[in-house]
Parts: sequence; C-alpha cells; structure tokens
Amino acid sequence: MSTAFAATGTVPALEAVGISKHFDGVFALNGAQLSVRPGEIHALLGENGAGKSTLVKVLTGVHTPDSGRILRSGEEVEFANVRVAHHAGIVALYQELSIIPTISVAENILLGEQTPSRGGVVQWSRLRRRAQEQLDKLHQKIPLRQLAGELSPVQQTMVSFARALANDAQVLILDEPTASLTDTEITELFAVLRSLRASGVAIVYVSHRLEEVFELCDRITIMRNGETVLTKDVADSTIDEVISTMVGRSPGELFPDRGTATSTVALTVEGLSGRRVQDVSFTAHRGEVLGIGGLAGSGRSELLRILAGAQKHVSGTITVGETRLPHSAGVARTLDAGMALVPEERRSQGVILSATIQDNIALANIATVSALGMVSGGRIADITRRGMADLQVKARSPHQPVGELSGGNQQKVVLAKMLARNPAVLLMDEPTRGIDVGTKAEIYRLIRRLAATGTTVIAVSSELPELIGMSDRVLIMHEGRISGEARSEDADEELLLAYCYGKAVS
Amino acid sequence: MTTTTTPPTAAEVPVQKRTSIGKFLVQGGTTIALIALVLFFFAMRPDVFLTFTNVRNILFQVSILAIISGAQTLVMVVGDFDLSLAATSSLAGSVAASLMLDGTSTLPAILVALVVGLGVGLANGFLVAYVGLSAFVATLATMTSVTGLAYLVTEGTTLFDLPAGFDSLGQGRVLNIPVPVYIAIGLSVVLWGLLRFTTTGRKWYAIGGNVEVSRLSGINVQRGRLLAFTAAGLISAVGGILLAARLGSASAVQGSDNLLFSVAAVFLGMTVIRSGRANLVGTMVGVAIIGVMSNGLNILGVNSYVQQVVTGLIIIAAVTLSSVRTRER
Amino acid sequence: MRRRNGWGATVAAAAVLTTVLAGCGSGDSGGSGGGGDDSFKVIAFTSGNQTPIGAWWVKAVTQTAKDNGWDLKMIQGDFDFQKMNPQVESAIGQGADAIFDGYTDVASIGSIVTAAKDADIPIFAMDSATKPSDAFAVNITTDQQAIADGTLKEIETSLGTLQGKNVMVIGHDPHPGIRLRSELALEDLKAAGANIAGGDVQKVKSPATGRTEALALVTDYLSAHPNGLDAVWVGWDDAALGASQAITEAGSTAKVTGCDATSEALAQIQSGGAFLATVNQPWPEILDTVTQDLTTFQKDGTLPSENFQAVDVTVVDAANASTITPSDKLG
Repeated sequence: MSTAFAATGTVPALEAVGISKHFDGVFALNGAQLSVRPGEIHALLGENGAGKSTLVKVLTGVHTPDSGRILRSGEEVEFANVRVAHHAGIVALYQELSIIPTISVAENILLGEQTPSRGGVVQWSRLRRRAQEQLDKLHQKIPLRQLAGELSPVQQTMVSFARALANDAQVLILDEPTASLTDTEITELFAVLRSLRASGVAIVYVSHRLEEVFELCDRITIMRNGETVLTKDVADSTIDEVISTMVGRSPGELFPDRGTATSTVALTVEGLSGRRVQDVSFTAHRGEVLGIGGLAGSGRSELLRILAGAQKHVSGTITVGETRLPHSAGVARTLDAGMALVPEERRSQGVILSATIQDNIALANIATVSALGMVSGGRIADITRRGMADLQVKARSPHQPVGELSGGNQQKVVLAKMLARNPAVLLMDEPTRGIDVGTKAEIYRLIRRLAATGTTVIAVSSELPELIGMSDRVLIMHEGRISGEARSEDADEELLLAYCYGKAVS
Repeated sequence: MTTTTTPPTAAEVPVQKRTSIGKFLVQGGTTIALIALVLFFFAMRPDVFLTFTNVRNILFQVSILAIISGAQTLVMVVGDFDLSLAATSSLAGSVAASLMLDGTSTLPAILVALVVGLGVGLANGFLVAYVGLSAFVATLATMTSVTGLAYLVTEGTTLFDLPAGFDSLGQGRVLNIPVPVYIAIGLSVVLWGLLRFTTTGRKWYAIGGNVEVSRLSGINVQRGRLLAFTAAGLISAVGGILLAARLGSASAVQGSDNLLFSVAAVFLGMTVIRSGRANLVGTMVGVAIIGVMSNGLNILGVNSYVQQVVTGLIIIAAVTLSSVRTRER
Repeated sequence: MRRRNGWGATVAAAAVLTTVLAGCGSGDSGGSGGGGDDSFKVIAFTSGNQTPIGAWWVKAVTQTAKDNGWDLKMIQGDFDFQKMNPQVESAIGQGADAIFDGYTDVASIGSIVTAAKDADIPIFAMDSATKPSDAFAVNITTDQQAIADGTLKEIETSLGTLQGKNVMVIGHDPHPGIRLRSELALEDLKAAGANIAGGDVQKVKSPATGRTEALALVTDYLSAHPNGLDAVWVGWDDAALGASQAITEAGSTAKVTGCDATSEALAQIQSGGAFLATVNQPWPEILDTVTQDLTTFQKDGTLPSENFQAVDVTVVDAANASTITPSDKLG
C-alpha cells in the first residue's frame, strides 16, 4: 500500500543533490545524493564514518554544505540553522534527545512556541486537547498529565513523534530508534511508522540493524566514503547485497573460520540463580567461543553480569578453571580469578570518554603498571602500545581521548583494556552493538584469535546470525533458564528462534 | 507506603491515577519527616509548640528564608543554582538602609535596592547564559564581589535608625500576624503560579529538563536562563529588604546563612515529588522543616551546635527515605 | 552624626582600601623593604578588618605609622588565617623590626609566632589573648572580669537582686574574649544564686548572623517559657540587639546587657527599652599605649617590662551613654 502512495508522490519530499562537506580538509561528504518520497520509509545505510550522520546534519540545518543543493518538495532551500529546517517540516529525532523528562506529556508534545497560551498563561485544556489529537493520530494511549520521564522508552519515542506531528513535520529522520527497545516495543514502533507512512510522511531511517530495515523500509540508500553508492527498492535487494555494498566486499568474509575448542574445562557454572536467572548450569572450554542468546528480558545479560561479579546471585557456584569463586565474589575478585567483562553500554560502563586511550588502559591494569604504589609510566606506555597494535586501534596517538574515536575503535580500547590482563575467560555483552560492518568483521577475527590462544570467550548477542557466525556453540535462554543448546554448525536461525520462544524442539 | 502495599485490582490498570494532592502526600519521606517533626515537638511540649504564638513565631522566623528559597527554586528549575542569593539580599538591604540614612525617602530607597538585586541577577544570568560560565563559578564570583560591595556600602558597620515606616514592613503586624509572613506567602503563591501556569515557567522547566530539545523546539534557552537568574536576584532583594526592616538594621553579612538553608530547602523540596525536580510547594515543605527544626529544638533547649548536627542528619534522612521510595518503584 | 553621605562614604572607603591594599601606608620612607634602608619596619596584621573596630584599627595604625615615620606593611586577613598567616610569615622573611597584632588571637597565629621568634622580632599586640602569653612582647587587652562584673552589677541594680532571677547567658565560643567573659558571667550569676536559663551558656554559631540567631533563640525560649526571663546577658552588642528585639516583641520586661558600645546599642540604651547597659572598651587609649611601647622599642630597643596588661573598662548605661564615642565610630 505504501507503493501506491509513493506512486502519487512523484516529487520527492526531500532531495539532496551533490552534497559535499569537508572538515579540516577531509571530505566527510563527497557529492552525496538522497531522495526521499512522501509516504515512504527510506533506509539510510553505511558503515560508521560513511557519511550518514553528516548528511543527516546537513539536511537538518546543523551543518551547511560546502556545495550541493537541498530541495524540499522540489523547491530549493537553504537551512541556516536547525530552526529553519524545523520550520520547513524536517525533524530529526535522536534517541537520547527525544523528550524533556521533567514536564508533562502534553507539554512535551506542544513545546515552546507551540504551547497554547493567552497573555503568557498556559491554556491547559486547549493544550491537552491538541496534544490528545496528536496522540490519537498515532493511536497511542499515554496519560497526558504524566511526566515524560516516567514513560517507557517506546512511549517516549511516541511522544517525540507526536511532537513532530504537532510541528507539522513532513520529513522525519530517525537515528537508531530501536536501540533501547524490546522486541514487542519495536513491533509497536513499526506499526506507528507504517501508519505515518500511510499518512504521507517521508521517513529517513538510519540503522545498523539490517533485519529491521528489510522488514520495515521501502527503499534503501547506501553510503560509503561520503558518497552515495546505491539507491534501490528493498524488494529487489538482499541483506548480502547490502552488506557487500556497504563494506565493498562480500559478506562471506564477515565471519572468520571457526577454530577447534579443546576439551579442557575453563568455566563451570552450576545451579546459578539470581535476578532474572533461574538454575543455570553449563561448562565452557579453553579456546571455545560460546554464544548466549535469547529475547530481551530473557536473562542473558543478567547471567553475564552475575558471572562477571557485577550482580549478586542467590544460589549456585561459579568455578574458573580449578578455582571456585566465593559466593557473589564481586568484580575485583572475579577479575583476579581470570574472568573479565566487556560490558554492553560501552560509553557509560566500558570506557571513560574524556580520558585518553592510555589512561583508560592503565586504569584497568593499575596493579600491572605499578610497583610499590607508584605508577610506572614506561609500563603503561608499553601495554598501551602493545594493545593498540594488537587490536589495530585507529587513533592519532595513545594520548587521544577515547571520546574522539569511532564506536568500533572505542570497543577495541575496551577490549585492549581487558586483554592486557590476559583473562582466561572473556565475557562480552553485545560485542558489536553500534559498530559498523567493517569493524564488526575485525572484532569477530579478534575473538577468533583470542580463542586460538586458549582464551574462552562467552558472548551475549541479540542477533542470531551473529551468534551462529561467531560462536562454536550457542546457548539460548528463555525466562531465565537455558532453553536450548546447539553446536553452531548444526544451528540455523529458525531453530534458535524456537528456543528463544521457549519451544522444545525434538 | 500506602500505594505500594495496595495491590492494583484488575479494573484499575497500572497507570497511576491519583489526585495531585494525594500523590503529593504519599510521595516522599520529606513530607512524612515534616509531619513526624511536628508531632514529635507537639508530643514533647503540647503546651507550647502548636500554640498560636509559637506557630506565628515559626512563620515569622522562616518568612525571609522562604523568600530566598523561592528565588533559589526558580534558578534550580532551569537546572542551575545561585550561590550569590544571600549576598545579594544583604546588599539590597544595605543599599536601602544606606539611602534612607542619607535622607532618601523609604519608597525610592526600596526601589533602588530592588533594582540592585535585579542588576546582580541580570549579571549572573548574563555570565551563565551568554558568556557560558558554569553557574557555580559565576555565582561564586558575584557572591564574593557583592559581599565586598555590601561592606563598602555599610562601611563595615551595622546601619540602623531606619525610618519607622520602613521598619514596620518587617516588624508590623496585620491581624496580629507579622507583615513578612503575608509577603512571603504572597510571593510564594505568585512564584507557584508563575512556574505552574505561565509559558515562562513551563519554558524554565523545559530548559531544566533538556536543553537540546528545548532549543530545537524554539525555546530561547539563553533568555530563559537570564530571566530566571534575574527574577531570583530581584526576589532575593525583597528578602534582604525585609530582613533589614525586620531587624531594623542592615549589615553586609546578615542573613548569610540563608544561602545554605535555601539550597537545602530546595533539595528537600525536590524529594517531595516523584520526578525529583525543583518545585515551589516542595521548597516550602523544606523551609518548614528547617524552621520547625530550629524552633522546636530551641524550645526543647537543645544546644545550638547539636542543632546543627541534627539538622544535617534530618536532611540526609529525608532525602534517603525518598530515594529509597523512588528505587522501590 | 546621622548626616552622612552613603555613596560618598562608599567612595571614601574604597579609596582607603585601595591605599591599604597597595601595601604601604604612604609613609615618609615611601618604598617598602630596601636592604640598606634604616627606617623602622613594622608588620601590622589583623584578621578582623571587616568589623568596624578592625577597620578603625587599620586606619588608626596606618596613621600612627605615618606620624612616627614607620615603614609599615599592613596585612588584612578577612578572618581567613590560611590566607593571612603565610602573608605575614613571608613579610617576616623579608625582615622587619617589629610586628603589631591587632585583635587576632594567639591561638590562630602559632606559625606567625614561631616565625617571629626565629627571626627574633618582637610582637606587640592588642586584644590578642585573654591571658599572659610568651608569644608577645606585650599584649594589652581589656579586663574580662571587669566587663562581666560591670554588666552584672547593672542587671542586679535593675532587678534588685540576682538571687532566684532567671538569666540567660548568650556567648560565642570561637571568640576568646567573648568566651572568657561569658564563662565569668555564668559563674558569677550562679554564685549570686540566679537560675541560668537553659542551664548553660547559649551559643551563637556565627558572628555574621549573631543578631538573627539571638533573636530566634530568645523568641523561642520565651515561647516555651512565657515570663521565663528576667534578664539576658549577652557577650557582644550585635547579638544583644537581637535578644533585646525578641524581648520587646514578646512583651517581656526582661533586661539585656551587651558589650562593645556600638552606636546602635548606645541608641537603644538611651531610648530606655529592654537594652540596659553595654561596656565601652578603651581601644584608642590601648592603641596609644601599644604605640608608646613600640616607639620606645624603636628608640633604644627596650621592651615593655610586663608582657600582659588588662585595662579597666567603662560600663555604659542610660546615665552616661551620651558621653561615649561609639566603638564603630572611632575612625
């Protein structure tokens, strides 16, 4: 039905022609093109650094392009700043910037100049009525008087949509809108996006989650190195084609060959129970990559946190090699026993963004780099150099703040930090979240290299192809329990998904 | 406690449906702490604590703190805070007193003092919103300079012998209630209305909640912050003028304890509501806690050093209690 | 006296401060510190320059230095010893003939005393300790016992007797003089058979808010004990004014005494309200005596024979209030 609408909208709602933009002499965009029709959901894809976010910023008036034209419904426009773009009906919604937590839902929908008032006094009843109209368009039931900060993430996203509608937005740009949503919430979000599409709104959808793109979007535009390399209908494309276009090579190379796990047990978990985790037992071997999957809320991340000592458990035992950890040992003792965690929330839990690469690595290895309570600069420099070389961290110098690096390189710093301790067991939570496809392949190769040197890697992932591709063996959790196990050469997505939903498969 | 223990019936679905008053009452440990304090002091001295005279004493004693705390609330709503408020109030009181001793009549002297407060607020707002200094640095600096100015204006002495008409602003009574109590209540109601009903107030809340979204929604963030600081300066000047009238004298440092107490009152007030934002009703609960504590402990004859320790502990207890409640949700 | 020009005075104060901050009292010698200079070098310091008496002292010492041709280095501490002490010590390091301490308690300047001893520079002081101290070549202060005696006598006269009367004592411990005279007053009151309201000295936390603290304290006490006070003895005038206001507002007939003879207290005493009496401490005379000791030392290097002197004070009540120069109007 979207295509029917698209057919009538022959004039693109928003068109970027030959946009170039450079920073400090380096081209971020080099003649980029994008054409979004009214009533379509248009995926904007590319590796990190391909120019997606710069293009979005040009389209929303954050940056002015060096050259090129922007056409809004066929008319050439210039966006001097964000507000001009806003007035032209172009609204970008970023996950972390979507709402104001301290004021009510109604006020969030009709913010600032939109708030109905007379003589400087807010007209609450008109405000609520008009806010309700916007929510009705989205078929959302959200209490208008509630503070927006108390809503669930998906409700907050809905409120920001409602505000965009109230602003008469004709072009919505969404950046990774599903990042913090559960599967059911994603379904709800997609339903709303489809109804917005049906009402003629043009939606630009920026995401790394290709499965979602193929489920939701009408067309895709792929960028690489600041240029637009492909625009085509989703129906005529495949995930493989998209990946190879993004990376510039074929996806078969994404996952390295599997290794051979040894039979030496590196980790034994018996009867582990705690918050969201019920009676979990398994073993992992030296040199093995063990994937753990499950739906959001299945307890997969909690299991990992308990193993890392970051969350207390109620009962059960954890044995690393021969050493049985004391009950709820805590992070420090777990680290000493040789088990380290690379957390999912890289920016808040993994690295200190304002600190340099060297300081981040030194911090996690303070015992290694110091003697008699004094920190040895030489040793820090040493392990930093080694870590950066090992992991091919792309940075100007060890003294560059981590916040300036790309997501993939930040993740490498987190890894370097943990690897400097030579852990026997490395726990990784969503090791490739928010990382572009090119760097993903590097991370997979790295995991494999670690396994080859005898490290046991236990990785939680929400992406089934990733679980199968990177692991030797996969455990699936459902409602806190292990609902299925498969060697990855025997596993396919269908089987794992069945486990995810707790279905016994014979 | 009551909300969490009552299991929701199938009919009423999870969304909290409660009148704002009911919600307010069960919200935080802070309100409970205030009630507990009142009950405690009443139990200890039933013959004294809740008598008309003593309640009037408490209201009189907190009226100026209430005004300064109201000013602090505005600034904290936009997500900043103002260390210079008490100093600004002292300066305003000193300026008014100095002018009146020079022979300026009362009303113009008060107006000039108000303009001085407005000016200090404007300077703070300009430094924070337009120059981009942190509120801590900017207001710490203005606090230092403003205190210096107050020393200059008073020549380091205490100015006294102010006109009777002026003194009656602080010491006079209407219907047997001191004038500052009316002014504090009146100003609080105005500020409450300002924050709750006007677009200006709602914009302040928006700015305090998320600067970026506010900016993108066409709210002039810089002007909003400037305005909040300016209003706070003006209101603190009202407090300082009243303090001078109440004491019948003005010195450069009188009322300097109002700074920490005002911040404490706003923080206590933030624990009163679930969202944890600065709000006027909560601030007044905080002011009441501080006032009841001080009066009650005086009545019980508790050593003032011990009082100070206990006040700190009560603040910690109230904030802890309400943060525990927040976590339970 | 009422005819004063606020803004003019402000400018004048600013000018004085600027001069003082410039670091030299514009004495005859002009420059500060030259090695071969044979002028008499004095380091003067006070932490209390923000109080009226402290401000007067700074002006008066600056003038004295000018009159006697001293090379004066004036250091003002703003109640901040962390800032003041190192400044004084570095001045000592650059060499001086004598040090003049105004109103800064010996307990707060231990490091200065040590530095001065090491450099063999005598410290002349006024109101810097309540007891004799080896730290000073001389320290002249007022007789705290005389202050307590004089004020209590006023109360006794007014009430007829102290026996069985309810008296509150308000003090401020960090100030050594106030602490000592409060304790003396407390003991004397107990000895005379008075009931001490609250059982002990009531303590004000900060001198800056002394008036509001005393006001709340007495108001609340009267609220809890209606007619429970016959008198309030307060260690200094600013707080005494708060106590007196509380008494007036509560309609009590209790009497108040203070200390310092500020102009505001004098006015209250003359108006015949609750404020009964205060004490005038002869600071100008004390300054003269210390100056005398300094010039003697300048001439022939003789140090005073006694290193502590507690001079008598004048009790001020309605009878003599009009004859007293208020302590905040000395300059």
